[in-house]
Amino acid sequence: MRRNNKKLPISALSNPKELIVESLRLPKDTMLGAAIVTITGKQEAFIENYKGILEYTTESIVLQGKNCKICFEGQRLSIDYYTNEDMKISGSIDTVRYV
Amino acid sequence: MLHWVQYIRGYVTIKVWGYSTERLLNLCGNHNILVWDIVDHGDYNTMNVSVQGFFALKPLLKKTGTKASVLKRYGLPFFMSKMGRRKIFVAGFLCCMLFWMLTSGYIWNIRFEGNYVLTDDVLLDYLEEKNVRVAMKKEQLQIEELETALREDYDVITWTSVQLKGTTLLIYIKENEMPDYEQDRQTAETQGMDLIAERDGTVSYIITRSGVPQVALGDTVQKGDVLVSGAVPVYNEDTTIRKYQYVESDADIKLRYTESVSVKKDILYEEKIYSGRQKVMFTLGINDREINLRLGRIPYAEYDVSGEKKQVKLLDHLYLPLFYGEKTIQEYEMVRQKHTEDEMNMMMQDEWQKIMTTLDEKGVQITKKNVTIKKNEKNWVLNARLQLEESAVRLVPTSTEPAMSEEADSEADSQHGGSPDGAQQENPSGGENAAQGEIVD
Repeated sequence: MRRNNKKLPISALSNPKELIVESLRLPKDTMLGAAIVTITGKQEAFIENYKGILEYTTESIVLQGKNCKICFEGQRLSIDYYTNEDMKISGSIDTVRYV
Repeated sequence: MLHWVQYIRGYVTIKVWGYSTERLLNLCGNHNILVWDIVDHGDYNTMNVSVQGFFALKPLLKKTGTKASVLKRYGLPFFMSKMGRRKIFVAGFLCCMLFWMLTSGYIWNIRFEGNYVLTDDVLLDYLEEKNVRVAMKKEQLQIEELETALREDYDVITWTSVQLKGTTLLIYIKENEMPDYEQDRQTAETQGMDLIAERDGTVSYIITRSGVPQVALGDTVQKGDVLVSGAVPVYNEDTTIRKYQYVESDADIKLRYTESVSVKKDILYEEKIYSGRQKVMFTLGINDREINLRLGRIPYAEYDVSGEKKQVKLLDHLYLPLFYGEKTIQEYEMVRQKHTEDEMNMMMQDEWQKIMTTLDEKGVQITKKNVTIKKNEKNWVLNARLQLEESAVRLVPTSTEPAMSEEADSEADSQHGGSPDGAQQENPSGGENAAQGEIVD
């Protein structure tokens, strides 16, 4: 039986860039521009490595990542702070979707 | 921590509305303008931005076609400018602080605790001598030295503690509760004590317990005469005085004397009749100066002023040199009145009672009395001729000089030579002292 934490087979990595990053064990967020989303319970979300904000209402916040859009949906959403590097969302988060 | 930084640098809550607030947020991010607490209100958003950030926001607002207006200002820069507009308030506040700082450096009250024999006034006078007084600087006070000085200068004080509490100087004192018997006895032993008359009179009673009586029953004595001598002579075989043995005289002696007392009381007298009209005025004072707050002059010809003032006290011990109080001015009229005969009788009785009580308090006995009341037209006069008995005596160190004799001298020498036993046998209590006296001489 294969253990879950084992590395993905090389054949699963389609992109050659991903292959290099994976084999050299480089940080993926900086190398691939992947967004880091840290969600604490249902109330708080802490997002790093994004490009910008596309939509902001109390029901949904849509952020632009490098490869995809990240959509937070919920109630009474608000942005605690917003800088170029990171931001914090608070409110009642229902779903997080990658579009 | 971040909140403090934000408060010191100052920030504003702004309301943003327009085409795309999201774009504005992105641009803020790109231009490193920190925005926080972004809340969507439907038509508009509110957000917090630092003062510097707000000024940097202006070109971005133009670019994105959004509009912003300031809702609220927070932080020190705004507070300062607000204070700048209230100069009198700030000046008053600073003056108040200054006043507190200056006045709290002085002593405004001195309190004593534990003193029974020494009164507050005595101690205050003493402190005045030592340059410790109200309204002196705290720095000038040498607490340790004051404690030592108090103990050294007053024998009765056995323990002192000086404390500064706020602006109050607290002095705790423990006085010696036991009288100094030891010292008294020593004086009596070494010196001997005479009983002398404190006033002129005739000896009407005398019983001597110790000492040599110098007067007999019925003798007339004058003030200062020795009644009982504390020097008991020790005679030689040829009846010459060899030396004196000193004792503390003890005797019951009563001196009889006559005294006249005369009391005059006028029938006419003046009485204050208060009209009932009165005015109240307020008083303010600094140190010894007083200001009375009233309108106009006092409209009464004759009046009494009475009142009380209180010292301003902050917290528990901070006494300030400020006083306030109320004074009542009461109008009165002097009316000439006449005592009735009954009243005069009563007054005479009272006077006589007063005389009796005073004599009784002094321990004086009345052996004979002759009291007459003379009723004149304008006044009554009480004349009393009293024969009194009083034990008017006082103990003083004896005035009798030690007797000089060759034998005593030689005895003193032999005592020095190492045979004190013999001397003590001869003079059980006073021999040694007498001998010492001779050596000194």
